[in-house]
Amino acid sequence: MIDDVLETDVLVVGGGGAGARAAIEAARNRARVLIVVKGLYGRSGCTVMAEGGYNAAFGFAEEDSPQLHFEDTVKGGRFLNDQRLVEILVKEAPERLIDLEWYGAAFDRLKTTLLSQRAFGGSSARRTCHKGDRTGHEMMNALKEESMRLCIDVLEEVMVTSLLTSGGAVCGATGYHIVTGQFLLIRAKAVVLATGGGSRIYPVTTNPFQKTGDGYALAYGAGAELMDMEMVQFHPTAMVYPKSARGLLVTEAVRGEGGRLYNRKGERFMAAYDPERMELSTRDVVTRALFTELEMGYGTPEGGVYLDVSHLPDSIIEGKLSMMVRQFSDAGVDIRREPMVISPSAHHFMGGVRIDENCETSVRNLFACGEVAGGVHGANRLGGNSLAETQVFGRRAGLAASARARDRFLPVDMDRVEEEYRRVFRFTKGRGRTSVYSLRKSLEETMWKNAGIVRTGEGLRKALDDIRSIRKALGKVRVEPGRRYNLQLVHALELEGMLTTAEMMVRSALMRTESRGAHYRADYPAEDPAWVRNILVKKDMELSTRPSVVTRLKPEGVP
Amino acid sequence: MRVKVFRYDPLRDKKPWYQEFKVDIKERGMKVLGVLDYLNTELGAGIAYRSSCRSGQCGSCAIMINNRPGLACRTPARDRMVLEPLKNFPVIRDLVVSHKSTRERMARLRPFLHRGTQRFTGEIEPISLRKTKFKELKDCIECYSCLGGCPVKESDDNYAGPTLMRLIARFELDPRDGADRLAMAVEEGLYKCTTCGKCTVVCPEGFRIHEDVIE
Repeated sequence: MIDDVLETDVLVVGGGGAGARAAIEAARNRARVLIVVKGLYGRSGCTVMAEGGYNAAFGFAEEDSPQLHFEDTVKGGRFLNDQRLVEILVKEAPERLIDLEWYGAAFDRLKTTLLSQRAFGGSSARRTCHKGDRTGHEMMNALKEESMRLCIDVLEEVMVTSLLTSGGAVCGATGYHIVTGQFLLIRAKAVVLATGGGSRIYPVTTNPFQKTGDGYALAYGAGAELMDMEMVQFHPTAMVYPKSARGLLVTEAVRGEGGRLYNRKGERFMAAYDPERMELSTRDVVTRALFTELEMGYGTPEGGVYLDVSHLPDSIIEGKLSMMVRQFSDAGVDIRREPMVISPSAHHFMGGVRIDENCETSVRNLFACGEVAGGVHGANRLGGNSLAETQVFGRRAGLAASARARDRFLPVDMDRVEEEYRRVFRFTKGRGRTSVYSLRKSLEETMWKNAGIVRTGEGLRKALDDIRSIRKALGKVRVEPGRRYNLQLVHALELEGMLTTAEMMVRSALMRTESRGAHYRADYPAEDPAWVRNILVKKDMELSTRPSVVTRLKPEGVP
Repeated sequence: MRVKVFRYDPLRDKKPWYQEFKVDIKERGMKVLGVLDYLNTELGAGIAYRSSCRSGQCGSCAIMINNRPGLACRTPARDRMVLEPLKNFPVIRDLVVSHKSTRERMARLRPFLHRGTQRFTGEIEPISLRKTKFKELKDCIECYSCLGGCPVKESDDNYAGPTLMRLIARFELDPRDGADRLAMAVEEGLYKCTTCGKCTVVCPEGFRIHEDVIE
């Protein structure tokens, strides 16, 4: 049954920015570390694709302070943020950026020797450090180089299928080794979840194929508490055509550098929604403005609106938006001369596994950092805050997890492992004829339609029904029998987790009878001061609420 | 549109074979990756291939397209195309190849900054960090297309190949790095390169590898 058993002090699940940073910190503290990644290390997460930048209140470009960064983040998050975590984020982000340069990254500079910082939506100062529009790529290279220096073991193309617990504490994980087809038992004294988000639950998304929200389902299965699962950020600007590029991110840096939004009638429509901040309003506001324009029929024939930079000098466009120039020229559009056509796309899960200041979850020995963790961004994330989050909380998770290296290995329940083995490979023995892809498509479509940018109680209940019937149909799925590099098996296992995650999202969205940040209920369009509360969800879909953690900034409208 | 795909599962097939598909795709700007996704999701072809970001940033999806290395996500799909795994790499299954030996060889180069003890701060910039060549070379996505296209690598495994030479050059040009990267490059077979320029032709990032790196 078990093909191989691995042992390590700290198991890091996920090889993006947060996972790599956690591994580096744990290894520096002399723990044995193993990174397992579902895809390729440093390539299958969102960090490597991240374009715009990294928020750190250096105050080089103009006057700025961590306090200002804190206020922007909490106001942008509509007061649902865990303010303890935000304080940590704003305080440590600059130090962590310097770590990255120490590892080998080189961020862009001004004519002086200072770091260059650009404007981003929702930020009251130019705060976003960058390397052109390939900031994440630069970071990921540096992190990979540093992890090579520390000789950290990386196991690529292993999908973790479950977390194992012993007396309520995590003691390891099981995994399907995609390349060899083996079933692995990985024992560990601490597990750091850094699996990223789950925007692949939607059909139109900026995320890479691997971002199916596995970490949410893993944590839920281990009994951990999750929060704010209804909060999904839809990035306002993503490509519309060609179909194979649908949903691909058009970086916020385009607006940061001065890009303008127009509808079909040639109006700069943001004037009607946020005349003060215009295109640089927060993402939730811009996305809903776009959605409204499209609903009213002011969209382009391709089904989007125009984003134009042709008024900017070519040197700015080529120097600071080189990825965009290339991405659109691949699609036959010269952005220096003609406008881009864009529409919203699922981008980021603000919610996730609830963590404390040391990134520990409500289950002992289980840590979480990066997008899979919740609380930092509240109801809406500011652009540039999540690259900073990966580094700040990645380091904290690695540090806290490495302290567990002194503990003993907890015993593994072998019956549970055997049960998991049967669950994983049951798809290869299925009797039905249902295609896993048709089921995934139904889930994606119902989530887009009923639990997307604009939601209603009726739609959400429909989504819940659909999730239930898709789960039923899962029993009839059959995948090809081969063990080696069986993508159908991977996609079926992903779907099983996606259903759990989707159910948490929909149930939380149903419960939140107001509109706040990224969560918009057409049947409850106003923000309700009584709802400055987080919705928590844990085993058996048990929902509860708790007032948001406030330290420095009192919510508006609440006495 | 007709597509021919290399199929091989070493655990089940005696030898590689090719499968032909006819697909009805008329979309403008369709990429090779779009066709592969279509084959798997709509026709249940069960082809093994790698992909992540869809936008040429992660470097996962390099394969041979009509006998030429390229990123599946950026190369336009054409009628009668032949898709095969990247050359000069061992095949795991179908279009998926093993990077293991390349990565081990890379580790031998100690590919990290040999830095001093002085910590940089956000305010200090070694002037030459502005060198554009250095910045450009850091944009490599390590898709290994150039390795798949290198004729020297094909016949002489002592040559580390263009990807690794690029990596060495990235450190050589980094003013913060203290190791003797030139000696390393010579040891890894720098002089075996014939500067034929095939690597430059296939590089999706448009690096002039044989000019900028090797010379």
